[in-house]
Amino acid sequence: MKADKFFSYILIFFSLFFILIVFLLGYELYRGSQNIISIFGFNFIINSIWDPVRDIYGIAPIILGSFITSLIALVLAVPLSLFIAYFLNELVPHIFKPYLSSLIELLAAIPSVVYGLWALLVLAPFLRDYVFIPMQKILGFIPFFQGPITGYGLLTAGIVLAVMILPTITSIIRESLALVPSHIKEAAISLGAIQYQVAILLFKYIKFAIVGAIILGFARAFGEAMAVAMVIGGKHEFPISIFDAGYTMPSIIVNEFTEAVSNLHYDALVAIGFILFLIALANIVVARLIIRKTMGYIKYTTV
Amino acid sequence: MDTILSIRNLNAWYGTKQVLFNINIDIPKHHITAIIGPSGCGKTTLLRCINRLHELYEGNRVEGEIYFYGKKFKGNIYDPNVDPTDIRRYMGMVFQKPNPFPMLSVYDNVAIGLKVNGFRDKKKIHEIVLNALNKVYLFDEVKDSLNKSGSSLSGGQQQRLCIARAIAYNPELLLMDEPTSALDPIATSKIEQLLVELKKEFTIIIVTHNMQQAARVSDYTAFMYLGKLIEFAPTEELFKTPKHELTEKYITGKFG
Amino acid sequence: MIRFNLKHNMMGFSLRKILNYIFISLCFIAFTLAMIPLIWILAETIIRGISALSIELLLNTAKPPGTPGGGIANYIQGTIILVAIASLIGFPFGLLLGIFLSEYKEHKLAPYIRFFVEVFAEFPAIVIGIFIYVTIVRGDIFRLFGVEKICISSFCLGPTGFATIAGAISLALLMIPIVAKAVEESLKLVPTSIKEAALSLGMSKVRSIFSISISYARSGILLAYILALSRIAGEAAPLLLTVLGSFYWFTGLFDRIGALPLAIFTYGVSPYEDYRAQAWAASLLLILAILFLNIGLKIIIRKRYSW
Ligand SMILES: Nc1ncnc2c1ncn2[C@@H]1O[C@H](COP(=O)(O)OP(=O)(O)OP(=O)(O)O)[C@@H](O)[C@H]1O
Ligand SMILES: [Mg+2]
Repeated sequence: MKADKFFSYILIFFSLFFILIVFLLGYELYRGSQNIISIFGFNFIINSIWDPVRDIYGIAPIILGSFITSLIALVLAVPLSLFIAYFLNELVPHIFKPYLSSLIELLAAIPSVVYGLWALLVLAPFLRDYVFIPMQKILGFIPFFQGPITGYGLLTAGIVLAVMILPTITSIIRESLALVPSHIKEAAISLGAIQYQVAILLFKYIKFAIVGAIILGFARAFGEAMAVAMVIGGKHEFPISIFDAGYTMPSIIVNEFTEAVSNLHYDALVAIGFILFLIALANIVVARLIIRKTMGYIKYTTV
Repeated sequence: MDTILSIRNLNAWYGTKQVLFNINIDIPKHHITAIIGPSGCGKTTLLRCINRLHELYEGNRVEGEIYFYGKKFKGNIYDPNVDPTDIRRYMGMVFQKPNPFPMLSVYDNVAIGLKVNGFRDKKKIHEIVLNALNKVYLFDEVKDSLNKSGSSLSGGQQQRLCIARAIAYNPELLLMDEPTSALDPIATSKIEQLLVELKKEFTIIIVTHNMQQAARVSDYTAFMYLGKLIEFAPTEELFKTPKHELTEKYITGKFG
Repeated sequence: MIRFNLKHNMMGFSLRKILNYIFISLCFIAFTLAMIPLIWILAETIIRGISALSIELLLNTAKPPGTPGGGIANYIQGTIILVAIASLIGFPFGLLLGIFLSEYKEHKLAPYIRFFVEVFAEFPAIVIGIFIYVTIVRGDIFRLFGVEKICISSFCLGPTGFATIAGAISLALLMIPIVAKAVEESLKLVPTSIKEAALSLGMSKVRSIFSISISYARSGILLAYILALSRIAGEAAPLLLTVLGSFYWFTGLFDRIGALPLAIFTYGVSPYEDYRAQAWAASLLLILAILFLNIGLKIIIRKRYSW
């Protein structure tokens, strides 16, 4: 039928257009980084001096800041997510389950600027006075726990990120937990396994999905801009402790974009965007493939 | 003759639907008891009441008593003061479909029951695992793939692995739900031989659809119909001189 | 679903029982811990937001710090305009992709599209923002064709500078994968029997899609839109790079514009008390809108359109 043909052409046109946009995104960011690449080359990544006034751009400390904050977020969020996922899937009575689950999902619905505002004006001062200062008193002999404490820095950013990625990780783990066939659980229980032992076996069963969830959570944390920009403190040099101020790649874009001083400064921010794009792409593709493989594996062993 | 299990006035429900009615039966120690009956008569449910799997699903309910006379535990396993996870270690279960843990190696599939039940001694565990694999005549077949996934074996090997898993932690009672129904004749006969070997150490309750199998391997046979226990007798007696009309109809294949 | 009887596991004090108590307690504690930030954020926003809220605030445009009578009306207007234009672009686009993914899933392009949609959905918003900044705001895309701008008679496309339209496009890009995935999911739920019945009546595939499948899945599709809406309404990062923000009412598609999330950011990091208070008020409005979309409309739609 004519209409059918026409419609399928429209669909294919839009699909191809969409793919074009994705490729264009990569290509344009690459082109936008050309200046930086030709002037600084690889030094852009390994240099530690960021000085817009002299037009010198190196982002090693910023990359480090991104990794530190994201890792802090994972360390805090992953164990919590595992417990919460098991709690919601296996412990909560049926009637409460939808309500408690949507409370966790609500965490994902809060805009990141609102997280940022709360972290900036409420959480950071609280953490400084009631957590970080006591923490330093106890752990201050360890190198990474020394130095001045303002409340604004890597650790605060990591904590906020942990809250923000928690719902993502939890929901992936919950989805794959729900796919574990009941005969696997029954086998474990028939051996005399008690709850926590069953939980361990289930987590082993979905271990690939957990890895995928971790990578995806990492990608989320790594790409988060606003909330981090508002609490990270903004410092271009290598941080000396986890309480210290720093920068992450998205947050420096946010904070310096509105006051960039030269064209090269803009280009440097675009180049950071390009690196972010590459890292995000790698993370997401790997995570998706792993998660998809697990789901396939679960289906395979169910048949 | 010693009794290991006395089921008294057992009733079971799925939601509001009752599927077991007043079951009373004494299972003799160190013998094989077969449960036969038409599809849907409640054989699986009865088996799952014995290790308290039935009640794990919301809405399911059990009433009645099951007295277990084991070495370490004697008493009603449905006593409100009994934790079901505590009594399951005295029982092993083999499911209809082979279900080894795919995320564990062949070796760990056998060791897991020990670990779950608190064994810590690595050497002892190793010994027991090899012993169990030997008992199910699997060791020679899998000795080169002990580290491979439990699901990498053939169907018959998987089922023997599941038996090894169920006997490794030395339970006293083995519950088997149509363990050979997913297997070919050769694998089936291997498992049947195995059962006869195993009854020296364990008491076995086996659900089967296959009357020849019941006749071949079991010492006692229980016939169930529509959730009721119709007849329970030594296997020969039940097959040669059934007392109940329904039993006779069933074993002569005159059932609709 | 399998569930242990908690009461049973509370008997006895063997090592594994104790480990089990600990495990179960940790599950409860983890959930409670996750609730702390949620309740804390909502409480602070409501308390501080309400105390800053006034009729004036809702009706006036922004004023310099310290000036009485400053409002956030222009930000509300900006968010509505941006979200509306983004919807006009992003929703049909996402809808078409979703239709393609579910109704033409045998097509050889479909798995690639699905993969790209999944990947694109996870791209950090800031990356999308930079992309639009580079291509449209700065106009690199036109230089790709060797020109400063592309003109068809007197109608020209060129670098927009920071502009409403650029911001709306960046939000539309964020919207497309969300809509596409959710539409695909809801169209998948349409029973094959219904689709086949439509085709067997001699309906063309297009008609059966639009008059049968889509109307069958309409509540799911509406929910897809709402999901996307509540996600983009709170986005600040891409807007910062594309519209930059403004103190004034909307003046045109090619001018700068303000938005609630931008106001929250710039006011929040400012040192002025009155600005910070207004940031809380803006947060409150945003959260109320999102809660309304997430909870309120979901319930209404389920009631009215579900089958
Ligand atoms: N999950 C369930 N929910 C509701 N009813 C069930 C459920 N499982 C089984 N039943 C019903 O309980 C009755 C007994 O089932 P059961 O599985 O114990 O029979 P069976 O004797 O093992 O049958 P088969 O020989 O086919 O395995 C049947 O009538 C069945 O329909
Ligand atoms: Mg059965």
